[in-house]
Amino acid sequence: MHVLKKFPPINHSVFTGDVNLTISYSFKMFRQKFIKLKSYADAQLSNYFPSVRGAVLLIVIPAVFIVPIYFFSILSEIVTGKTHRPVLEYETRLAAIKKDLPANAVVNYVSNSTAPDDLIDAEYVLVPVRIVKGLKPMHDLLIFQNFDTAEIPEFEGYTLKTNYGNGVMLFKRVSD
Amino acid sequence: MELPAFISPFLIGSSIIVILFPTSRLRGVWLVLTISLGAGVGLGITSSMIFLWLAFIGPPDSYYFAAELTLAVMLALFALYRIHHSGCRTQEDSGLNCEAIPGTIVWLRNIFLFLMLVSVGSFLLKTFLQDPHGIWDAVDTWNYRARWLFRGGPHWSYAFSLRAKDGLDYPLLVTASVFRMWQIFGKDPIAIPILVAGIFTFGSYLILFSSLALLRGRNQGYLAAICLFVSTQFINIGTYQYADVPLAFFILSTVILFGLKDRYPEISSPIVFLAGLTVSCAAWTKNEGQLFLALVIFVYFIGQLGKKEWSKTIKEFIGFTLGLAPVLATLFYFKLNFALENAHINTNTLKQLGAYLVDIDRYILVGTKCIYKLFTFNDGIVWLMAGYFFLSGLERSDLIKKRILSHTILLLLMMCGYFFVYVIYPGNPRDLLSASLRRIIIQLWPTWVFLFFYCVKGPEKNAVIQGTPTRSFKADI
Repeated sequence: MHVLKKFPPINHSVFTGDVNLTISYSFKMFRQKFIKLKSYADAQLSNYFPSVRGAVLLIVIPAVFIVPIYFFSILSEIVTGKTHRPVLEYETRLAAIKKDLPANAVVNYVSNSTAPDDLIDAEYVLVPVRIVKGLKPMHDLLIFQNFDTAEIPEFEGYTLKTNYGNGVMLFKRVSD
Repeated sequence: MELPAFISPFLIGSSIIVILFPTSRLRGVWLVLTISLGAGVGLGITSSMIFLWLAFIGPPDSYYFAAELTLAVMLALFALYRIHHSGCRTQEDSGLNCEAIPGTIVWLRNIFLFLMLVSVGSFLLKTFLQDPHGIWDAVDTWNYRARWLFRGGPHWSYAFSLRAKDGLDYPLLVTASVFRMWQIFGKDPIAIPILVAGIFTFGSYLILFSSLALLRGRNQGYLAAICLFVSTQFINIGTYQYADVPLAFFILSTVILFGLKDRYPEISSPIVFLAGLTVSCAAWTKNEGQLFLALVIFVYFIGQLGKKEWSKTIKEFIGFTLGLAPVLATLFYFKLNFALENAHINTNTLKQLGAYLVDIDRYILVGTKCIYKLFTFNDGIVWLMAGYFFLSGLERSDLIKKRILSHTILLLLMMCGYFFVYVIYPGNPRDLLSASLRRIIIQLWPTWVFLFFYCVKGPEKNAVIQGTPTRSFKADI
């Protein structure tokens, strides 16, 4: 309204078709409004913080988006089941055999898994049982983890003690 | 459910801080600093105590926990006595409450609280539902050893056997903290390592906020914490349950304490004592912390000999050593009796040292990788900070410039130290770089964020640097 007082409205009845004059009026009105709006916004911003506002917004605006996006990316991974949690799987797979192993026993461990953390996960889950990878040196018990075949393998010097049915088997050494 | 196990460390750590700063009542930003710093320091002290008990007496029983609780209660009572008799005014605003405090940019505080809430949600989702046991190193080293200490019975020292190829001499702050809490419960719920990781992760945000709130004003504290929230790599590695975030916590705490010492010179003695404690906790967390310990002595004490009075520096160093001694002694005991040889630096690799040090290709490889990683770290967050710097500029106070110089030198020397560890690595440095460079940056990242926001202009309504070296501690609180 303040702007309109400065620039009287164009009388369309006397409009002669001078397009340039109309554009000039419109541009001036727009400019005045813009300047007024900018000064109002400046005053409002200064009310909140007088210094380095551009710099502050440079940090704050990405933060407002990035942190929730990070939250939702984790949520979507969980919901869609993309996450591979080998330790939890091993905890479930080896729960039954763990009860049958004497504490602090030293056992041999064989697995046909190609995962790089297979041994680490098995060791972690089976604490306080000590794991020796492979068949040498031979100990009284042998754990076999079968991930891809249905057949029960044979190990020289060992006989099957318990098949837990989920690919996990416990062998015991044949006495001499 | 698991929180009661945390009462003793929290009481011990917080009480020590309150006793050392008797004039700071448990209110305001000091309360936030006391709680977050006290939690970390308490875990450092109790982890050291329980390891010594385990080593000298055997698996901790009710006697140990009674002794620990007695110590905590005695310290707490003494702290309450000191608070009650200090009788001075204090800053009321914690910066986390919802009241409108003059000078606070309310929307900035609200964004800080919102991001904190979202980050807590992210942390809980990732830890409890995605990776409850942590990632590789947590399963291979930190939690694995905690399980051995807890489940191993008389064979607990197998945790430090040759079973692992790496980490044979890693210190025990994280491991023993987890073990301690499991021992209290008599079972080993996975919530405990998650709780320990959470304390150090969110403790870092709160320490960063509260320290800058004290040194530069609340709004600067909010902004720095928001910047650390944007660094999602930090919280991500926090959820991995590695020791890198706890180490970052102690490095940040130490630098902040030396920053507070410059700001409040009249209470420098208790502050350097506390700094000694945090440095020793850093050394007790990871081997990189031992490099940090050496550099802290070099930069803050030896480097100051020519600039300050000898007697004052020596007095401060004695206070620092007293703070350092208890946890560092535990570390020495562990290293001499249990830790095996370091996989990277041992007698065999020392023979090769000369050859590696003159191998220019190693310098080029490590230098290139480090620079590339720095500029692309966390999707290029350094560019965001560079943008902030160009838009805001440096705070032109001579005091600030003087105060940040030694901290900056310390961090640069730390980075040089890391650089040379990569150069002299006996294997292929490329493997070590790809496995650890991101974590190494995380160790120093919160401290860099602190220094950055300590010295750039901030969104304070009154853009004045509070305090001068002559300004008193009592006047500020």
